[in-house]
Amino acid sequence: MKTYTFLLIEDNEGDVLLMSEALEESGIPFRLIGLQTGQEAIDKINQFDQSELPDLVILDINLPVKNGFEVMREIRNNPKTAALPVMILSTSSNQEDRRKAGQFQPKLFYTKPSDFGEFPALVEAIVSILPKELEK
Amino acid sequence: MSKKLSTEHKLKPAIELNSEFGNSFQFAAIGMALVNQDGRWIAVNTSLCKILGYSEEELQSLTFQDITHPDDLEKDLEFAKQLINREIDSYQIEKRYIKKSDQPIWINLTGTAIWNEDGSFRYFIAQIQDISLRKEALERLADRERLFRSIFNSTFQFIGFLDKDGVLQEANQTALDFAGIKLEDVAGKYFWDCYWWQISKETQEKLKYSVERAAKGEFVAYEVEVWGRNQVPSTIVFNLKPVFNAENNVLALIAEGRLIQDIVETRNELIQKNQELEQFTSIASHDLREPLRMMKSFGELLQRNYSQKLDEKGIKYINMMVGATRRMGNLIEDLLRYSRLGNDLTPLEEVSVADLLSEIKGLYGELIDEKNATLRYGNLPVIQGRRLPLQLLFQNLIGNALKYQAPGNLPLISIEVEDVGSFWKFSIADNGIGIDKKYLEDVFSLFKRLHTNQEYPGTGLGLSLCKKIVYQHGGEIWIESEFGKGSTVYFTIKKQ
Repeated sequence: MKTYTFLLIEDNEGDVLLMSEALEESGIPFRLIGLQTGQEAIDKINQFDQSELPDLVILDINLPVKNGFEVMREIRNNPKTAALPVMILSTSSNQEDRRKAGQFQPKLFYTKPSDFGEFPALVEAIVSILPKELEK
Repeated sequence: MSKKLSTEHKLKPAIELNSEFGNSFQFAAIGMALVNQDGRWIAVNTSLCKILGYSEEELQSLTFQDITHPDDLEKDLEFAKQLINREIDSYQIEKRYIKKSDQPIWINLTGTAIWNEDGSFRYFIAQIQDISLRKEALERLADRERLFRSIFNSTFQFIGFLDKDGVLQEANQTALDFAGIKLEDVAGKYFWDCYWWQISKETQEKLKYSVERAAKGEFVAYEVEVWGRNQVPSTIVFNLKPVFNAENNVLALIAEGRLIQDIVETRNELIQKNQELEQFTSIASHDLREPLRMMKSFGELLQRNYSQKLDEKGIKYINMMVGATRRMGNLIEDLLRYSRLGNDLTPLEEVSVADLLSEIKGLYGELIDEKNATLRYGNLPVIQGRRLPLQLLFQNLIGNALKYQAPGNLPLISIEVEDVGSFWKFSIADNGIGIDKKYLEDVFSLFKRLHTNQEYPGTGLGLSLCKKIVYQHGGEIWIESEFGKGSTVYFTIKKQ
């Protein structure tokens, strides 16, 4: 089974830890790269070779300095990463945020779980958007 | 003197008393007299004697100068002179005589002259009409005019009269002082070209259009910013009222304005404060939610994965903690919902109450089944309102009716509606635990709770939310209840 690489851009340590716990409990083989700011994420993505690119970028919107929208814009503007699957993880189900994110064509816009019991559903959602040919 | 006069009279009888003309002179309804060049009354008729209170003889011993009010003498003499000089053929003036009783009396005098055959002056003919009643009436009218003008000028309202084309005829002192202008500056101009309205082209255009509408008989009212003194903008409530004549055609327009700058400022302050408060609540709730999510999630992880490593007490502590975070989560959600209602500017729509109820029944399906509850309602109207808040309103009230039940009781909830003129009056009655009379007022206050979380969990925001929604729909909400027997919540929704 393939080991998936997830790039989680999230400034809340707790969420990173919870995500990691939830993925572990799901049994999917994974590698989680956690980054805390938008700038760090952009730098990291630019460093990657084509082969090193993650299978999915999981992006929070409320990030310090450069927010999630700006990170997405940079990802989409870079030919190397333009087609990278991105999932937005937001604290609010705010319509305005959803609309704004839409222009960058994220694979999924997901509202952060309010407790750990909702994490399995999140993981399921993540699995459902992973590239098909890599699933098996 | 008097002897000489009577001799003259006899020598040259002025009027043949028994002739037809003599009779018509003597008994004419208005006062008539012949007056010589000096002003002496040569012949006077009965009516004139009656008007002045003198006998014929008494008058014949006097001149008109003797009994003319001193203030009116000069102009009468001037006209008489012109008549003698043949500069005019006749004259008519209003003047006062002094009656025998010393009372002044207003009369209308028409003076003409008779000439001798040789062209020399012979007599004045005076026709004298008592106009004291008319004068009194005019005086009273003038008093009333003064009274109304003082009201017109001293009222706090701005008032103006326009003709039906919109030309300003008059404006009261309040309106003029407010702008620091004089009537001459504006009278005779189109109202929209007058100083107050020059604040902007749009304001002028709107007024012009409103005048057109009012001239067709419509009452027009709106709030508008106009120029006060030194071009300082002030908000007024303005209206145009058509005045109709007997044929029901528009005769003129009354323009009226009332300064509401204070109200507008207070209102704006209030709106701003409200927005700040809503923002604060919303931000606070969002930021509170973040750490709470962590506490809850890690608490649950502890519960799930580490229970075997804890003793009974440890497990209890964690359970308490997780329970508390869950309650706080509910509280924050309700607060958020409450604050969001305040900035709901969505337009009104048609909402079918029956559809709302079936949706809510679906939502509470499990609870209704579990408690074996009955929801009863007949025909329900389609009302004008905001769908989501209205759903929340019914949802909260029905939720309460389901929740506040004695254990084992079968909940019976009936929803009724009554058409009361400009309102719909709804009632939601239950057979629940009821509310003690002394708390009936309090239950709509924010965070007011009457029960522990062990008995009936809740945030204390539900009815506050209901109250806010009902107020937003122009209605009232109240509760009647009998402790131990059940409660009925009534609320009204304004028909739009």
